[in-house]
Amino acid sequence: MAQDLTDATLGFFRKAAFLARISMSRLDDFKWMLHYLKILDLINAKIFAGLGKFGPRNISSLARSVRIPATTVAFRIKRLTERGYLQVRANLDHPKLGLMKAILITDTAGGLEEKLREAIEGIGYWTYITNCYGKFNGIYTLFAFPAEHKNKLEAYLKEAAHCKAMSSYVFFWITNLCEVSPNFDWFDFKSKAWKFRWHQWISEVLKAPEKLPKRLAEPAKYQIMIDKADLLLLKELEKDAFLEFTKIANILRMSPQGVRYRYYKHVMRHGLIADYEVAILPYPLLVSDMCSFIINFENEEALAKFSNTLSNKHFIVNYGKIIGQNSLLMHSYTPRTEFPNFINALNSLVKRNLITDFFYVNLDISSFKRQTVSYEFFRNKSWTFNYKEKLKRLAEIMGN
Amino acid sequence: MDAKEMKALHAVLICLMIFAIFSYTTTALRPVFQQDNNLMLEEKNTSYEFPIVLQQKKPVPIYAADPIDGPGPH
Repeated sequence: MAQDLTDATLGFFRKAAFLARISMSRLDDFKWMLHYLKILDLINAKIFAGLGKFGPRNISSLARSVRIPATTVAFRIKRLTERGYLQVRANLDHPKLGLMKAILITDTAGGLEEKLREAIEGIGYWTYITNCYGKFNGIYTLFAFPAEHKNKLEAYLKEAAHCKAMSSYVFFWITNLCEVSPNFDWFDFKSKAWKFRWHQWISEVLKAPEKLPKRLAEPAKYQIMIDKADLLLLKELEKDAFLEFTKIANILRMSPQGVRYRYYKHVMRHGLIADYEVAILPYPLLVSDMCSFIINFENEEALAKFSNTLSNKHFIVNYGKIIGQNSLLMHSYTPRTEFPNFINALNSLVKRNLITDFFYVNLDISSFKRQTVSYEFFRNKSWTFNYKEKLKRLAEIMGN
Repeated sequence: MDAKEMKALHAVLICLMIFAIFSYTTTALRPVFQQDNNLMLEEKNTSYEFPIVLQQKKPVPIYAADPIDGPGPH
C-alpha cells in the first residue's frame, strides 16, 4: 500500500513538473534546456542512443557497445534518471497482445470539444489523446484496440458522427509504431547545436532501398499471447522500463521470483516488448512543434524508400504504416524555425513523384493524456468491449 | 590414546559431521530448494495460468489503465 502511494505521488510530481515546464516563462524553459545541453556530452549521447537499442536491462551489452565500463554507464544512467533528464518506457508489441493500433483525427463544431473528448475517452483502449489544430480542429487519439472487436469501434465512430459529436473525422488501422531511438549523427557536440540537413535527407530518400522495413510489415495475425499477470507486468514497464523486479513485485503483489520468471520466460521469449522509448525532448518545448503527418505514397516502393531513412532522424518521434494502404503515419518534433524547411523537404518529394499528398495536424502537448494498455478490460484471457453500454453512454454525453 | 578413546573420538566426529550436513541442508540450501519448487510450480503452467504461489495472494483491484507522463504520442 505504501509502495502504491509512493509511486502515485512520484507520478503526480513528474506530471506536475512537466506541466510546470510547459507553463513556465520562456527564459526558464531555455534555462532547463541549457542544463540539458550541458549534460549532453559524447558519453551521455552514446548512452541515450544505446538505451534505445539494447533496452534498460542490458547494461553490459550497452557498455560494450559504447566501450565504457559498465559501472560508469550504470552510474551515469542513475544520475540522469534522478535529475529528470532520462526516462525509458517500454513500447509493447500490440499484435502479440491481440490489439490493433489505430489513429483517429476528428474535427468538431465549436463548443463541442469537451463532449467529443468525453465520448472518445469513454470508448476506452486509447493510449494517447490530445487536442489538435490545423487541417482538423478537434481531438487526436491513438488506440490499442482489440482486433476481435474492430468492427464495433468503426460502428461506434459512425454513430458518434451521426450524433454530431464530430463534424468530420479520419480513422485508420495502423501497424505497431516504430520508435526512433535518440540519434546524435546530426548534433555538433562542440557548438551544442542540432543540424538539419534537409537536402541530405532528400538525397538519402532517393537512394534508399525499395524494400519495406520488417517492422512496418502488416501483422499476419493478432493472437493473444499473454495472461493477466503478464499484462500487469507489461503495463508497469510501459510506465518505467527501469523499474526493479522487487518494486514491480510489491506493486503487483507477486513474488520477485515470479516477476523475474515472467519477464524472461514470457515477455522476453515471446518478444512482447517491440522497442523502448528513450524520452528526451531535444529542443525547448515552447518553441517546438509536435505534429502528426499522414503521408500517401505513389506505391509501396516509394513508401519503403521514405521509411528506410527515418530510423536515424532526430526530428522524428515514431512512425507506422496505415494498414491496406501505401500511407504512413509519422509523428515529428521540430523547432518552429525549422518546420517550414521540413514541409519544403516533403513538398520536394511530392515534386519527385514519391509522395502523392500529405496533411498534418499540430498536437497540443499541454492537453495531452497518455495511458498504459487498458488491462482493466482483459478478462478470462480475452478483451471485452460492451458496445451497447458505450452507445448508451454516448447518447447520455450528447444529451439525446 | 588407547583403542577405546579412539572409538569414542570417532563416534563424536561422526556425530558432528552428521549434524553439520543436516544443518547445512536445512538452512543454507533451503532458499535453493524453495526457488526450485517455485519454478517447478510455474513450469507446470504451460497454459499461462496463475502459478499456485500467486493464486494465494489477493489480486490488486483495478478500475482504469494507468496514466503515463511522457508527452510523445504513442
